[in-house]
Amino acid sequence: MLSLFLTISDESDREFLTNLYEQYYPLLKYKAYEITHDYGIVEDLIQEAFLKLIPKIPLLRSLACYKMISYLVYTLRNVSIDYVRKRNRRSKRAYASSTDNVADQLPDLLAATEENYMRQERFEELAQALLQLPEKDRNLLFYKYNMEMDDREIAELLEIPAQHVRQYVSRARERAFRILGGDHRHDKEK
Amino acid sequence: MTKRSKPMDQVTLKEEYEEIRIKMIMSRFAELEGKMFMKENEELSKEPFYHPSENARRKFINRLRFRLPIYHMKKALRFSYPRLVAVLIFLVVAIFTASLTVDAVRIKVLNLFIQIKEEYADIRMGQDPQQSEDQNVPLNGDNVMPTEIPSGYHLTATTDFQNMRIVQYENERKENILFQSNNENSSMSVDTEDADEVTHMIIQGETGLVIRKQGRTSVVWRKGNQLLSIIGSSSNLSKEALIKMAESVQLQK
Repeated sequence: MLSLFLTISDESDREFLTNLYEQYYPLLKYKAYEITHDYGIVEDLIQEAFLKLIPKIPLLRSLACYKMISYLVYTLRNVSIDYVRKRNRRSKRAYASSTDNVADQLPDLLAATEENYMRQERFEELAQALLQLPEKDRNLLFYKYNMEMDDREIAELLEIPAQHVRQYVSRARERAFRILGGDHRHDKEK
Repeated sequence: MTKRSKPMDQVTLKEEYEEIRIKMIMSRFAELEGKMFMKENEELSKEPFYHPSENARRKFINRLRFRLPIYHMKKALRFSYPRLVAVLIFLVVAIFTASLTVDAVRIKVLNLFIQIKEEYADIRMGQDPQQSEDQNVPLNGDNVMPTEIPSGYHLTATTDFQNMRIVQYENERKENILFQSNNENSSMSVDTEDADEVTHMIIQGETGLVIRKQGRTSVVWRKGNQLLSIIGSSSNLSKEALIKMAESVQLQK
């Protein structure tokens, strides 16, 4: 009985994820390349992102279409950033062991990635306002409120101490309110 | 919903209001951003370059085939595993407590070992489980001893254990005879595998067994509540002499 249930779940979930993979592959390939600048790794990262989404299948099923796409893209971004960060560290280590002069000339891949993030499309109204936020703030708020990650997960992803995550979120929220019309500051003044 | 210590506190209420507000904003943001992503995806879909290759697609499905069952299995076990462990611990504790405290269970376990032993050609004259009421025979008080010892042998040692007594006789050639008496709660094993002779006979009015193997003769019988045996290690000792010795066993006051 249990095995029958598991088989049905497997097939249903596989179909669900495969459909998402095929439907949004163009966007995901583009987004992964934006971060990594390497088509050679893009396919692996997309698949890795989908495997990470397996425990989130019930949540994904419950989301409306647009929100679900955002969730997919942000998950892929996490995986891609993580990959770039590791690649960057490996490169630094490899060059550091050969000569310091070469290491100094290495471009900071992570910094380049963040710079690319800043070149985003213009969204309307609220979205546009939120895009004025630093990328780190926006990601932080998205992870916290849309992906419902806990402090430990956010800390690992953004490489900040777990005990400071709450403070970072609070500051990001303050900045978001300030950009979104200043009524928050007005509230405070009251 | 968690109960607040200060439900009407302005700072707390404001904090909660901001939390809900940012959640709504972020939810709206995800929707708007998702809409843009969708448009972008539609544009990109027109270019074959952005479509997955058949090979990549197959690889992806294979990875899902491998990972999904693992995930579902883990998820299923996450709920049943603690219960399974709890039941197992309970059973182990219950069985061991019972076997250590209840005499009936102890005898059952003992009998189980006896049965397994029998399969390996060992003879064990265990007690009848039906007659197991308080059969703890004191060996330090009234004891049974043979009164007729084969000529040339004399008593050299007596060793008492909780449920068993071993008496050793020896002759000048350092050949020995062992007389062993066990109370019925213990048991006795006699190896009959490849024996030269195994004879059932009546000794002291009870069923007994005489075994000859590799020059050693053993006589095993029951006397009242006790299991008795005589083992002669010398080939010079006749079976008759040992049976005579067995027949002479008496209660010593």
